Amino acid sequence: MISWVEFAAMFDGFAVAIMPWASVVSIFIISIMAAQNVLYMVQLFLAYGVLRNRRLHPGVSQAWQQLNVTTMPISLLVPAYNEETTIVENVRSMLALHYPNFEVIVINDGSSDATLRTVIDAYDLKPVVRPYEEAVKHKTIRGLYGSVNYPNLIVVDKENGGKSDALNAGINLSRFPLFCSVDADSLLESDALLRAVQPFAEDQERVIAVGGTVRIANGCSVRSGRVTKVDIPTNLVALFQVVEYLRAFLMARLAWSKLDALMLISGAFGIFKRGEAISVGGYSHDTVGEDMEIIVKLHRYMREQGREYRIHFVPDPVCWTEAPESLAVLGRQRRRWQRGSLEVFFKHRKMLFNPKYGVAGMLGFPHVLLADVLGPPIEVLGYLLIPFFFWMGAFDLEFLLAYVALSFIFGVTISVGSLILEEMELKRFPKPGHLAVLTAVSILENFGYRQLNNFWRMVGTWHFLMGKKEWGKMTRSGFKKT
Amino acid sequence: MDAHPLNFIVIFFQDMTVLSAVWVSSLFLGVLSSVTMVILVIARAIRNKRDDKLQVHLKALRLRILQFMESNSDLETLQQNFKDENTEHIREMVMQLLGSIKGESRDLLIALLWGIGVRDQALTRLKKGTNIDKLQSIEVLALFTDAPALAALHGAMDDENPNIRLMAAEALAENDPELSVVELVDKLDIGGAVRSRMLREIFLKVGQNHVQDLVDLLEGVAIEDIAVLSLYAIGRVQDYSVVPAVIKQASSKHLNVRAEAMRALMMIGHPKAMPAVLNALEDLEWQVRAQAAICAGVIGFKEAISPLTKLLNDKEWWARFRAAEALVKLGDDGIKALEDVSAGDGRSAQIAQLVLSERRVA
Repeated sequence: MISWVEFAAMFDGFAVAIMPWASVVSIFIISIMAAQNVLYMVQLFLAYGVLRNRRLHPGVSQAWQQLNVTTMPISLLVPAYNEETTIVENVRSMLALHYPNFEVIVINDGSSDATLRTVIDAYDLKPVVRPYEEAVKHKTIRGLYGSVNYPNLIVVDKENGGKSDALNAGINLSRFPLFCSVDADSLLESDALLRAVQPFAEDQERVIAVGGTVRIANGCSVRSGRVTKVDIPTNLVALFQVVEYLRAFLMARLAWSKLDALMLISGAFGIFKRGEAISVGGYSHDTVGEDMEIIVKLHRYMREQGREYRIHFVPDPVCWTEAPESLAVLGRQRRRWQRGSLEVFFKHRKMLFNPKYGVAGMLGFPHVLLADVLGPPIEVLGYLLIPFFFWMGAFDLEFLLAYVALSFIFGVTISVGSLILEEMELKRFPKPGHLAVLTAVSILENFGYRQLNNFWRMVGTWHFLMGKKEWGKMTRSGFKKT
Repeated sequence: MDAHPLNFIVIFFQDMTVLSAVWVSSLFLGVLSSVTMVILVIARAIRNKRDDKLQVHLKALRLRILQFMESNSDLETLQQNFKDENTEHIREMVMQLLGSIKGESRDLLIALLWGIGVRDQALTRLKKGTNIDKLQSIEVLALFTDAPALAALHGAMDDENPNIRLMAAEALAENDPELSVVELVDKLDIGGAVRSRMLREIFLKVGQNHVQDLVDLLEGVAIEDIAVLSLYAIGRVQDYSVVPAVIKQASSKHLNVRAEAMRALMMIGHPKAMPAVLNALEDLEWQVRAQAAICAGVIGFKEAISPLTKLLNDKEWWARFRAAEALVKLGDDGIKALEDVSAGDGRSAQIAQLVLSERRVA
């Protein structure tokens, strides 16, 4: 047993040994945090510029008349795994979307529940034959189902292979030039497709992928697969995510899209040119970050081919999704997201600071390095070391305050800034009370929630280093129905 | 020397270290953003109250407009009744109603917009307004065919914003038979700033009155995008005199032009197209081969059965698939050819079997 005196002596020894490094380590930590904050501020201003100047179609009610002549046919790919309770209603809402020419391809990814039987019975589906090209790899398709009553609905039954495998099957079955990946538990606004497809219509040669805004549906009222009343969640965990999603979609993605360096389109709602998606081999099976990876692959492929291209993000179209309400489920999701980012980063590390890959290689990919690879460990290291160094007298109060500013206070500006963008340009939250609560949450999330997130991301990094491959179970409580 | 108005910031920060400045600016920005948000929350509460009242008013206004339309009132009575109303509100309501109303009622509503001065406002705002004002003005002016409205729209075709030029072109394509494809090409920067699919519909509307201009464009302009648009419009005007010009484009050096020429020939459906289609079935690019197969099937070129059968073994799946579909469209002879191939093996037999089985299930 080691005595307290011995322990104190060892600690003193450790402190003396580490002190010469304290300044270097502290300056490194604070520099990385400063770089992150500068980048966020730039994003905020860029996003504001894009929102101010985005094309508005006069008279929103006339969106259909104005936009429908320019649309392109589109296949909605809906991977479904154990969705027996929600699949019928969600397919119905997709079939009712306002869009001139589209098909819904539901891919039952070897569900162990009655997803397939439920959807077959609900839509009176019969086995059909549909020739398709084996353009991208996926597990065996067991059967195809269709109905004369719903000519634009196809249900694919295949062996379980995961979400990317199901999407690949959908890509093969699709016969339209565009496809849209939609999560089976997400709800699209009725004109979301019509608006999201506009970048393709405005620049049909160069635009190869478009992402739309995803929002949190917890607390909203849902009827017949549509969000009928926007509200905010009562659950604090979900509330934090409302602010996070605003920051991610309204600020970050919009800014990166403006710079032509968008590295991620959410798997819940993204539209792609089928031909280009096939050219990069569709979705990869070896990562849990398949939605990020397909975008990175597209950047890489188009640059290597020397082709002009655009990957856009449009702030108006809205896909509603259910956010986890328990810390345990949220933690699983965040650990998986972090693992996915790292898998993609290291798989395509060749792009980092490589001028051959243009803005994506010189700006988009370095940002992944800063935000996903270096960011979490450095932030956690900062939480542990900076107070310790201060206690040991390695630097003065001024340095500590600067650290607190960069790791907490600037975060408030960024979060509240995203909310200001939302209110000035979009006004999707109907009540002033919603905005007041979200303002409080935007401040609060910087003191606890953000640190917890970083802890989960560190665990995700550990899982990546250990070579973990599973998705982990996602538990959902369902939308509030009216 | 006069002090700069922002000198106080310099004075405030001059004695600070970088680290102190970081701390102070973070506090300042945090407080500034929070206070801004508080102001926005208050502004929202006030606006929501005002909007609630406005919605009630707009609902009543809409009802009044509908009642007047049903009562067959003349324009003068209408104007008299709405003279004290906010013209913006009437414009908003009328534009909403126009989306679902046709015939005499529609004409009456358009006349109302004229009568209360919305059209005149649009003429002014199209010259001096913001981009959003201009887009809204074009939407209004698209309802009128008088000379000043058309002149204003032609003027908007010179706007620096490509969206405004495009919207003006769309309105003119609908209202002005004198709009030429040459003006479209001159002013829209097609393939540069303007690449919208809306151009196809605009070219089609304008081209219907200027078929020869489209042909001249095809023969005189080397820009790929313009050739594609011209072919899109030509294919849909059903004028057989254009067939030789389209056939010429079937051997263009641009892949998209050759494919669009096949689509145009399919839409026109003239037998003179046969040699060009047979030729295109052996094009180097699969997109053209696939389009030629569709064209052969739709027009019904029995002479294409043999090359289509050969195409069933194409290295590209879509070319094989379109060839098989075309053979089905060619009737008994085509189906017989498909059945013969399906009895064999390899990729041609596979696609033949799949398309035949799809046809049986259907």
